[in-house]
Amino acid sequence: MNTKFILNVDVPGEMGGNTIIDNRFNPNKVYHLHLVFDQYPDDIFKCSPVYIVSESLYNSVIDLGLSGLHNARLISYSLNDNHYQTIQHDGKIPTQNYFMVDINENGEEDFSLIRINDLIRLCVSDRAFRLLSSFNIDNADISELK
Amino acid sequence: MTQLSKSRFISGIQCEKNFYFDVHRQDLKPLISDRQQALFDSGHTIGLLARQVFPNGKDASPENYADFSGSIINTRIWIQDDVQTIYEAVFSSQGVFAALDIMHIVDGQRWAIEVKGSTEVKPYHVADASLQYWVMNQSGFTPDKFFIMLLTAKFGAHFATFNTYNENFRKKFGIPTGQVVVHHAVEKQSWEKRYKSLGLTESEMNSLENLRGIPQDINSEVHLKAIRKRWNDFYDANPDGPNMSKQKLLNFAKQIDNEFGHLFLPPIR
Repeated sequence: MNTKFILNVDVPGEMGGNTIIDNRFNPNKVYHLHLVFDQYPDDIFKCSPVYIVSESLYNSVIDLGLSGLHNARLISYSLNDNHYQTIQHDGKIPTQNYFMVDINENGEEDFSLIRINDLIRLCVSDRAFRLLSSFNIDNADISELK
Repeated sequence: MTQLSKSRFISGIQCEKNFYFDVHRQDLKPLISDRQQALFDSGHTIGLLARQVFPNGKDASPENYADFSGSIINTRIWIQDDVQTIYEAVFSSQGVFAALDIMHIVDGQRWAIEVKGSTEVKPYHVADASLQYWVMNQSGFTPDKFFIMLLTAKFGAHFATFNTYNENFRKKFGIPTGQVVVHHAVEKQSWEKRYKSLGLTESEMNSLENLRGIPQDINSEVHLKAIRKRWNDFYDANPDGPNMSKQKLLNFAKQIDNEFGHLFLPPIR
């Protein structure tokens, strides 16, 4: 059986004022995400209830034929003017596009969601993990699925 | 030869007659009205606010606005010295000079940033940026990227609010600037977006009871890597809706305090 990995991914910021969220649905539906970064984000990160990937990671996922990232939509973002410069000491700021993506609880796919003790986590296949390891996932907590 | 400044160029685009008087009959120019002065002042304030997004830069503003030569020289020297951020960087070529609000270097790329107090990009902003680009290019400092940064009234108000709560917190606990990052115990996004149905108010959010100081050196590990992820798990389990309550939010904030409060400054537990 192929090894799978569990990731508790980076949460580099908060939902911003331009987000459009619908609380008539459970989980709430996010029609547009405006993210306010506190720090430079990993290439895959979360802002509950959605997952977000950098354009460069998304392109690699598609080019390599990996499955599980659905319905990519461009997000908007800004920097937390109170904290960003204090926290990101090297002055690096995000400039690429980021997409929020839908990920299902379908363990057959390279990217899927899994519930562990009522917590939702990202579960990735071995080949997806190898790809992610070539990107920046410094702030993710990673473990092997037992 | 009459020099052409960027503001004169823009004024010419907007009104040719004004441009003529500006160049040939300065004596007929009306005195600056209170309203115009207020606009100039707000432009200056907007520039200063924008600097907080790119802090710790060097300011090339001239001491005397009739003579930009010192600013032009300083700009050249600071670019050669690899200064990362320069405010009011002044460039000149072929009798045209233009001051750029912020020049910022990122990963070896030169960014030109023009700051405007507006909710949208207007055609004259583009004309203004185009002339700026041309002068920079002609003087040998072509920008790799050019941004028009828009600051709205909300942004200014936000800074005012932030400065107030941030300062209040530091004053109350006697903590010098730069020692802690001041965070909200119940996160700002709860009030602003996630739990609109709970009717949380801005003053509740910014009250001292809801503020926590996290020492700068552990902020990244404690707040961004640990506390943020815990809050995200909470949001996953508690979407806004009929089952959500203010008490649930406060209880979770208390749980976070119990777990991490001993690391805060001042400590909570």
